[in-house]
Amino acid sequence: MSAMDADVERLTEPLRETSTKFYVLLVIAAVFSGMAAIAYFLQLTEGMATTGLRGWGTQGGVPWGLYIGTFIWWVGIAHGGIAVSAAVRLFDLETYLPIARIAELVTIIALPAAATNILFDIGRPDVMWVMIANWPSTISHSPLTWDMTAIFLYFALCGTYLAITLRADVYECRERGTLPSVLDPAYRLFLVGYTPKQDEKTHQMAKWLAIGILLLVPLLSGGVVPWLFATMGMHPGWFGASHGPAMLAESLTNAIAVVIIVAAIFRVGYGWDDVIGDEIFRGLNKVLIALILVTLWFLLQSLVTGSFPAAPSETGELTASLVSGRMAVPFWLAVGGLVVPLGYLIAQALKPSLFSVAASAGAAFMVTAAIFLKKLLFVVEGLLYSTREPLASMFPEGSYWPTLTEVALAFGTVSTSVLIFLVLTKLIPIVELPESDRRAAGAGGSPSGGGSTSSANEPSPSLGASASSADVPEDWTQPDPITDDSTEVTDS
Amino acid sequence: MSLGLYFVFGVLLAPLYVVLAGWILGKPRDFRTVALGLAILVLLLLSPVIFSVVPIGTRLLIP
Repeated sequence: MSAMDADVERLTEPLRETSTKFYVLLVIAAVFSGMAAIAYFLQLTEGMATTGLRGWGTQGGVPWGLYIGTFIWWVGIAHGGIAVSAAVRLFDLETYLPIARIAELVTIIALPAAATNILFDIGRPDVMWVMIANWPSTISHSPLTWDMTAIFLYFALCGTYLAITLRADVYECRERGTLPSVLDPAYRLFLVGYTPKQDEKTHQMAKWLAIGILLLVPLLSGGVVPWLFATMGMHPGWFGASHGPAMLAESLTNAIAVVIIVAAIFRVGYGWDDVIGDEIFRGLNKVLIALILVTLWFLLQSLVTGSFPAAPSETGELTASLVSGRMAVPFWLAVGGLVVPLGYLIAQALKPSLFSVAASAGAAFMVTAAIFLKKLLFVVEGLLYSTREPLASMFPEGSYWPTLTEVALAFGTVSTSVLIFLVLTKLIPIVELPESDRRAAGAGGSPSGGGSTSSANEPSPSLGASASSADVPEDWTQPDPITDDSTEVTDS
Repeated sequence: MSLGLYFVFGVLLAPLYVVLAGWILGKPRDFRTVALGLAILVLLLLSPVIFSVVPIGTRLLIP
């Protein structure tokens, strides 16, 4: 077996082998997803009274709570995944290639998960159609419609990006017989019109898609999503120009943390210590340090301005509630959830012996949990406090505590996403196959005699059992694998 | 024209314009592959609209 074959065999391992751990995780995710389905049925039949959400003002509650907080959290996650992949493609960050597709899938799964939380929040699901049907009349003035438009566009761009880059790998795996044969009609449908000769153009198209996606990220998580709140002057804590960049920083922090967690799970689950190497986690940890610092910097801005005696009264009241009032516990938990992991991440950057993948994943988990709390607080805080006079004297201070139904549904989107991710690992190659492997296969073993039309002499790193990521620069200097290994690829 | 229309068609959709221009004008020129990519893009753009019709069925299940 050639080195390239060994690479492809290892990278497509999830398609062929299923461990007990996989089944255990699958059952756990399915059970929690089932509980979410029951909770949703309950909410549909009993109405929104099963939730802790109440009307703002006269009912003394909040109409946006856990669902909308979870929605913003998911939208944030959706950004980092594809951003990692786009950066790999645009800036030739080949070291991160092994996690590029994992990151893309995180995005593709996170976007519908975000939209599902909106579905939960609006009550009757058919209202979603009303929002779409009224698009032409609301696009001129509704930030909610801008939000919907941006998310649809982002989903379409990311989905196209994943699809066109995946087609080459699915073709290659199908030729090798690594894919489940029972789904062959689906793969054939997916490969309609595909020939290996398209690879060069596909590569160029993927680069333009990466540019488009990176341009859209600040418009979505740093634009239309925060504007849902930042354009509302009547709610304390919401209105302001800084929420866009602040939320973008939080979202990217959250997204990189989730990519670290998912990459760590794959590394441990499949023993891919050499495929998803330490240097990938070390690099992501550095990015996370920078992003946490930016997030904390924005937090400092709001705390200083909100605590200053000359701050508007409702903003001052809100800030006091966060710092030392009834929202202090979740607020300081969120701050601690950022500061403690930051301490570890800086320590492991200064003293490499402190680094471990498990600790990095643990730190990332704390970060994503902290961002979740922070997002939830941000949504709720603007609604709990009655706004300026005369409304402040008319309505009491609101209160909110999510019910079990809300918790089951909001976290149900997490378990369902895990479930979908697990199933996808059995359907498509979860790691993008290196260009050199595809070229080798195309030249040596493909019945169509295809292969990439990109330059055969272009240096490309090899991934997998034969070469750790640390060996990549040396691998670039090796002879072209096509001429060396084509016979072996064909035979094996 | 209002702020929203300027924003959506002038700014928000700009990444889409950039992508389409890059696909069509960029080299290598291969309009067949571009057409396939465009078909996938349009299908995915329409998919949330199509799926949003599904919840209407809940009216039949849970009146």
